[in-house]
Amino acid sequence: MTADEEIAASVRAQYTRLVGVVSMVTGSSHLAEEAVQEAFARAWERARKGYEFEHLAGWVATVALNQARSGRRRAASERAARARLAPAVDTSSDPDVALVVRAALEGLPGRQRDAVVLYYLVDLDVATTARVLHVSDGTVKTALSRAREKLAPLLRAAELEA
Amino acid sequence: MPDDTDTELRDTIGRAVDTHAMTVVDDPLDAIEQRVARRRHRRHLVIGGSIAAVLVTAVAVAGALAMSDGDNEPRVVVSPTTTLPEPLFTEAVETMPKPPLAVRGDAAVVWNGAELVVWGGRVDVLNMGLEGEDRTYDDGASFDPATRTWRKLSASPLPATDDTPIGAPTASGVVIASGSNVAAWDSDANTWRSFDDAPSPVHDLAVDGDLALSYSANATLDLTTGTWTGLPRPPIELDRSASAWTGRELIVIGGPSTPFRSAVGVALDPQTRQWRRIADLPRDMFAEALAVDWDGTRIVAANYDMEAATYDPDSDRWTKLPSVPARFYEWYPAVRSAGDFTAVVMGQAVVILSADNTWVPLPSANLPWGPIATAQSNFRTQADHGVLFVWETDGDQNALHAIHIDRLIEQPSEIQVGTFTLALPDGWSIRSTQYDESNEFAQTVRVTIGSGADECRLASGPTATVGRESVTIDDSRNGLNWRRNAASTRWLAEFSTTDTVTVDCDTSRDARAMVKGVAPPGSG
Repeated sequence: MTADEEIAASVRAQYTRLVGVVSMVTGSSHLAEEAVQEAFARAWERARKGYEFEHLAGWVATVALNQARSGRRRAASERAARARLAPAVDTSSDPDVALVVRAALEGLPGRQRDAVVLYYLVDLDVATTARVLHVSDGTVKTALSRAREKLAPLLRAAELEA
Repeated sequence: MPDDTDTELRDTIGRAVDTHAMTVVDDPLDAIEQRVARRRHRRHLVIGGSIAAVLVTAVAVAGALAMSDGDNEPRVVVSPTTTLPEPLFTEAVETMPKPPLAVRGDAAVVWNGAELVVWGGRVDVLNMGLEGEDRTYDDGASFDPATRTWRKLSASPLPATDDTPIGAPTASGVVIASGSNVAAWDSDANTWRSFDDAPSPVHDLAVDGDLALSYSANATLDLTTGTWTGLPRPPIELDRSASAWTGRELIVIGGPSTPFRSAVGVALDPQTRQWRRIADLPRDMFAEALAVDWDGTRIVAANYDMEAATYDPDSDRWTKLPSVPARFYEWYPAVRSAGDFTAVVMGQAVVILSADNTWVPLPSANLPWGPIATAQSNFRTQADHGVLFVWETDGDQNALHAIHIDRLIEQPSEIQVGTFTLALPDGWSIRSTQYDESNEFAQTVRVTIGSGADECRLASGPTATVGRESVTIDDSRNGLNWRRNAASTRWLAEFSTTDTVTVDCDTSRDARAMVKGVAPPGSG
């Protein structure tokens, strides 16, 4: 498979879910589409230069979230997104689970947050998560363990209330 | 194997992700392809660089350059977005693959928005502790962070000289000066183009579109015709100088060769080709070993006396900053700004200036370079989009490190106080710093951290005490001797008679958990 074919296949298979991941974490579907598209564009450039990804969807998710977190891009990309995309998707009535996950993620240090997103949201395993983040399996497990302690009781409560 | 909690979490979160998995764009593949095409058009860097600093932010537009690409109409190229790969640098501190060059100091190191270009340099066997004869180099290499690979530059027309080479980014690569010899390297073609010799040796260089500017040569170079044109003499002569390009002016500060004189400065407007004298620097800012950079809205200057200040060209005003809180790090500093942060690098210290003008000293123990013998020749720094690149000469090899500053300061968990690494408790931040050299034999760094109403005052210096009610603690944790004041909450850790840190908190706290280690200069 050529680099172009690999990227195209990944876009077809992963784009919608990755938008869902970024949208849930950021609370903005406008921003999510912009960020995921930008991340795929960067991945495409690198693939053409021969860069080999440990896990393309994981890479795209991490880059897209970094993009979305950047305050400077947020205003510009939201304006661009609103100009191009319609109708707006209303995320104001987020299910409680999404709110809980988002709040919990915001409270995590960067490394833990990245591990949680890749493992629980992008649905990677520990070894792949570790390779994408260039850390050891042990580091990922520790990060997930700490995140689980925070998330599990909150999510159970949110589900009961829903 | 995932346990039940794990499975439960995955199911719950997975369902929530699915409800957010709604997209509006009809053809995402087409949308992404269009982005790739747009990014390719914006690839080349346009903004001018200062003698030693390159700033690129994701959205900064420093100006537009009209370029002719031969057959077609001139096209306008705006400043690019960065091409730095984010997950590649998920580690906070990384050492890049080795460069394919013989070891050298005093190389030109230039970041052009896509590649880090290294050219020239020399070996001073005495200072660098190497074998053989002193030697100079006329070769170079370029590092691409996207692929983490080096490539050798083609043979250049520039001679190796004893003058330290200097470079600046251009739209298509870099321009390098070696003494009075100047040439431009094209990145895509890996070819060089020579220019006329400069009227005098070039020690600083900035690029504004098609024009290169040099204070030291007191001339401008037209990059399309390759010819130099002299400038009027500046209103004052600066014997030792550092400069930064703001996008509109070349700001040059420095001073006479007499030591301990306050620095002064001039600014060149390339449009009018006129120099103006700028406001004098604050009284303590000596011209000795000054470094400057432009952070997008102001000049940031620091010297090896730990003094720092900012300059606003619009109001022509300098504002003194708190002294740089780096003890014992009296090396020639570098100042590097990448919009989101400004770093002052002094030997083993990297201190970050945050948006509210608070200094955040990063832990030296996490930095990959050792003691610096002569920082001025052996250190080069560049910065872009959250990453500080540091090129260093370490013994018989060069190394390129990438320090992910934005990750380290987003939620700093460890800081450097004097020669000690301290862990910040969760939710705590730096409130103030102070470098106290009122006693030149007992320089002390003070950092106040806090969370809400709770504060700790940290101080690192020689021969501190905790008061008469001291209790010696038999605890060899981290190789330190501990004492605490039985009547208060004050702790003291001592590595040697010249390396101590006191921790004085409002509420009772075991300071041994906060003090992670000590890295005195020269400890490797």
